[in-house]
Amino acid sequence: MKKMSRALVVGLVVVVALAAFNITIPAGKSAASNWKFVLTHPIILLHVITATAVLITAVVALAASIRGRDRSWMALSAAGLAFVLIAFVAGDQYVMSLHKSALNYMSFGWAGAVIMYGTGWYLGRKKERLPR
Amino acid sequence: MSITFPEGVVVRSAGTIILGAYIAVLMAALILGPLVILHGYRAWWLDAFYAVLFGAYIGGIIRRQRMAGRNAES
Repeated sequence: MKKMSRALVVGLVVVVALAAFNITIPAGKSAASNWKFVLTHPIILLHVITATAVLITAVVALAASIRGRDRSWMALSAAGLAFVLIAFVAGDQYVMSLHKSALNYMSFGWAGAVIMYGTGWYLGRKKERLPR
Repeated sequence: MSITFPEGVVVRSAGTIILGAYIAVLMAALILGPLVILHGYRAWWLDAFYAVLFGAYIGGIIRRQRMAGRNAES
């Protein structure tokens, strides 16, 4: 729980750091040409790759929590995955439409996921300290 | 009559202040900076996120200071 939450928080921080170079996708073009720009720009491409890795890790975290039958971790990882999915879908929408609202949803999903996995990290540390 | 200087408290507090400053710089560089660049405007959920982050930061500092004090006592 602790390790996976930590990995997800670090991954999410890397994702937002890679999007912070104020790169503007040229407006007024088709969705296909926007995607072409994204896939040829090294930093945005890295942002997409890291975000995909975060999404896969979030799915693995949910599966691990279900197998471990840890209720608090299950709730946190389910909510975290939902937020990551919101951010992921909003990212796709943003590239296609370049609407500010999609960018808002992307960051909203990101912030929610950071809070969920940050809480998971904190609770994991707390559980580790408890005497067995 | 001699006054004993609470060296332990000072050293512990200095450690907490240095660690707090380090975490604050990391948070500003890795989380707040990118978000301000991406969203140069205010939104309720951004304010809520900053509030949660600030709360966690202050809570962490208080927790660290209290734990250092408890460890010094034992």
